[in-house]
Amino acid sequence: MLTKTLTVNNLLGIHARAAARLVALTSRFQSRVLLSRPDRREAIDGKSILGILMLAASRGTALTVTVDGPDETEALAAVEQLFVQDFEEKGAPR
Amino acid sequence: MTRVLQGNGVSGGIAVGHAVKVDKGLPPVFKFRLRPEYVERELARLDEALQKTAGQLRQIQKLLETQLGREHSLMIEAHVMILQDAHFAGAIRDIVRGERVNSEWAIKVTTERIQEAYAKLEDAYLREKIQDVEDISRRLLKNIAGREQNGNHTAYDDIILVGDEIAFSMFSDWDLKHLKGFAVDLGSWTSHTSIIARSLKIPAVIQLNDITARVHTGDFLVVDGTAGTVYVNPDAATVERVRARREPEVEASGPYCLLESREPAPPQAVPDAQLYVNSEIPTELDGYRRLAVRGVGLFRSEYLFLGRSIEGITAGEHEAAYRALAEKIYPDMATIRTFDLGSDKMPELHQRYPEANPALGMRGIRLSLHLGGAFRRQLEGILRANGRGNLRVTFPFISSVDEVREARRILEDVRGSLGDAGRPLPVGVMLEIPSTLFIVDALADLVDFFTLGTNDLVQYTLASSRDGFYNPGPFASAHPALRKGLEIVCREAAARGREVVCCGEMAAHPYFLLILLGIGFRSFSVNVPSLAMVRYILHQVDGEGLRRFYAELSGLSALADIEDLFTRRLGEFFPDRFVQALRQATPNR
Repeated sequence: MLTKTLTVNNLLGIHARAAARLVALTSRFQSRVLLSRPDRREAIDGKSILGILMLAASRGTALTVTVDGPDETEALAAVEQLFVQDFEEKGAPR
Repeated sequence: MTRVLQGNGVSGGIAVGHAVKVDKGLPPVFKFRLRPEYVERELARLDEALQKTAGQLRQIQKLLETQLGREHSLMIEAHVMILQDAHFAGAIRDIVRGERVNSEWAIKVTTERIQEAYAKLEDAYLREKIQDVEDISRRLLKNIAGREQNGNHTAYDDIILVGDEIAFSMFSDWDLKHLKGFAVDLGSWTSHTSIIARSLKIPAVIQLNDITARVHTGDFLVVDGTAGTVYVNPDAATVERVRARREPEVEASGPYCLLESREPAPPQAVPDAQLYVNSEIPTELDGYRRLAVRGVGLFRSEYLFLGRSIEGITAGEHEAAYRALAEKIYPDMATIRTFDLGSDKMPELHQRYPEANPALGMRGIRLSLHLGGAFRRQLEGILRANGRGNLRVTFPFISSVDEVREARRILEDVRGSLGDAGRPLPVGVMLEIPSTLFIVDALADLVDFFTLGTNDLVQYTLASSRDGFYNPGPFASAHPALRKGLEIVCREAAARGREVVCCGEMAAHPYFLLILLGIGFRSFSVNVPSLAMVRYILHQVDGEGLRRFYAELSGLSALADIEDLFTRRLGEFFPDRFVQALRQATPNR
């Protein structure tokens, strides 16, 4: 099991398109992916778009990502990459 | 009485059209307890609907991807993900299994739970996302009930969508080319309505609060997306005033603009082709000289008087309107089509003759002959406005020689009563009812020219109304029956020296224009935005290639083979850089 805290840096936060990209990514891996906010106890399933949207992760939110499974190293690296790339957002105003 | 509603414009421009209201919220749903042995069957029913829904969403996604690009198609991807989410499909399954209830009820409960959870969020953007879930649930419920979603069933081809808010997934239900504007109660700069409207470049007004309560489907609307104003059932003066504010006609863009800028115009590949413009309101023709057309091929007179009582329009009003038109284009000729009104276009008539579109009863010339006085006043107006002799008249919805005789008799009678003011006027008829194709020879003895209305002709020939649940597909206009009928028209009219002006959408479509040219038609009348494209084809098409293409087309009878022929041969027909533009112009679906 791997855990890392990643900060949402894109302008819009994790909105619908960003969430869709995240789900498309996490669903490619066998590992379980959990996300949690520091101010909420329950973690959500990183493969559920409704769960991710419910996080209401706006810009600046630090999320704890927990990955557990046979391909956890690759999964965490891929998720981190998406965060670093600002969820491929093109800086468009929302 | 014009009513004016004020909201906020989020996508500029002026749209004129008919209101079509879209539903929001979920349909009422009942709860049933299932006997244990039925649970598995219910789950299978649910899965089938889930799959069907996902399939529909994928279809919309493909459509949006071509129309709006990848960014927006990702929104639909998100919808598919929501549909398949453990918190959605998973939760619905759990409820069906755990509580032994019907799927509809489980969908309702799940949707409400998600709504509650979202309502607590502080982020306004995410609270808006709940619309997506509702939208998906509505679609799923329709699929479970086995109701059809697709199939552009509407009476209008100038639709202003009216609703609380417009959702992405509503789009598969309409042909994008028929969508002219949006007017919604709610919305924000970032809501679906606004995003879609700006992407499609169609006018939109949001935050009208209660337009859904004030407008009925079928109301005539003018949407000013720049000023944020919506006019409900405006009188003609208002329409004209608002339209006059419309920004000057955008210069043709893309590949066709090359052609517009060439001076002098290159010789036409079809040298004897004549190009006219269709119009509804004289002010549309302010830049008429720049259009470089031969005249107004079809002036749809009823649009000037929409919202008026047909009996209350005076000969003087008719005269003033047509005189403005005649002056504007002199010495070119304008063809005025007398009122093509049916109960679907006028609430007043709808009460007397409650017929739904396509209104195959009291419409067009039939209504004019039936009313008598109103028809005479219109003819008097046309005759009086024809001081310079550049007007002619055409009668809509003709199905028999008898109607033409009667209409002509009334015209001559009115003319006789005007004394010197009544100079002879060339008379034509619309060919838009299939019966007329086969009596063109007889009709030619009674008229001076023909106007071909392909929109109705396609519908009636194939027995498929625009608001029906059956859609004959994008290549309906290429149906061999229609082509054969039109061959008769072209041959018989030419033998008798009668011009046939093709006025309908077929002339404005690159594929179907090729068919009309192949048949031998040479006069085309299209709306201003289509002029550049049609002119391009008239210059570009190679006569020998067209003959070979048409011969090949004539050997085909299945629509699928015809579609295939167009797809294969288009590249040979036009230079590469234009093929893309033509492909984009093809009907989507």
